Amino acid sequence: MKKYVGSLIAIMLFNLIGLAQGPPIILDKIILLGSNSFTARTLTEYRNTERGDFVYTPFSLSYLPTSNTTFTVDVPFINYDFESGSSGSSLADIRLTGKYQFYQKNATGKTFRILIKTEQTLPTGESLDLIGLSTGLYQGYYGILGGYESLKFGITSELGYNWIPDGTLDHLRYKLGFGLPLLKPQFPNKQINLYFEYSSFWIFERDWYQLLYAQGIQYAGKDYTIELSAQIPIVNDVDADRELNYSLFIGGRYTF
Amino acid sequence: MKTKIIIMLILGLVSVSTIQAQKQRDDFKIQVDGLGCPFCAYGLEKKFKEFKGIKNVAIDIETGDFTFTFPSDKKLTLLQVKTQVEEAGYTPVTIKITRANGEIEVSEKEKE
Repeated sequence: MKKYVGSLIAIMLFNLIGLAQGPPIILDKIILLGSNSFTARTLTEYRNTERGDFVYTPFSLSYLPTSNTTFTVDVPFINYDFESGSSGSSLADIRLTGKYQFYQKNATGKTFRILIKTEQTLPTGESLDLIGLSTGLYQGYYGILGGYESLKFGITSELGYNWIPDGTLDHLRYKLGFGLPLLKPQFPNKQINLYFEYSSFWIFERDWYQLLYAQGIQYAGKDYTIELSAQIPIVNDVDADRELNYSLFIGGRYTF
Repeated sequence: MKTKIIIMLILGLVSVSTIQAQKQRDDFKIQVDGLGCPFCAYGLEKKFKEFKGIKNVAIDIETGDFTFTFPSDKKLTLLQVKTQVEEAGYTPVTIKITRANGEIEVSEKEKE
């Protein structure tokens, strides 16, 4: 228990001194596009674990009816290949996300924003007990998301609680992302960003804790991004046959 | 000789109409706060493209200077510009409009 709390405090403290920039790859982003805009996105994950290999491909569409509200629908598909022998493909858990930005402070070349966020996961996937991918269970996530972005650095962090009616997968989630622009800011945009993203999950009933680190790179054009990331565990305190070895992500987004 | 005169007349007319067309556009200069990343500046441009007829859009990410021109007969106002910047999710600090007839309109902060 002390170890989990220690890790959470450590990354929260790191949050205070970290530097970064740009829309994150694995983490959610603060709202920075205007009202009446859409973003289509996909971020395919190849997840290699002791239990098997999984390919998760979500198709997301976000809509901003106002400058401080966004709604997203994720329709994901999964291909699974368990070590135990079973394999297949199916629709995974569809996810509906809403975000509301309630605080914003702007200055020249920088912005700080805080949002509340909810994710409603629908039990459309198979019961594969793949947390975050396909569980076949209804889940409700409630969190707070904050971000500071400037032309030189920025931070994105998120803290939230995932609730399930039977309590089996209730967990606390904390994420923290840093980025680094490699090119001078220009408009129309042409940018290469590096990302350093931490994700941690504490599943109470199973007493599982994972702290994952992802290293990513993103090319951002005027209205699109292309991104790659590799994720490895730093703390992998779960059952031995469920340990994550690594995940690879590839995707992109287009705003219109 | 006759052909030369006709060509010169045509060229003259074209340049006059071009100058006329340029004069019929208002110039807008806005200082925008909150442009924290170049990718996000697209949101500002996209929001203003809702104004049909907007041209010469330029954004200096580092200074927050946002400039464009707009047909003067459509009389885009300071308030409309301010609202549009806010709906893009940013803060308009100062707004300056130079009308085609030479008149200058500025937001309150610009006057200070």
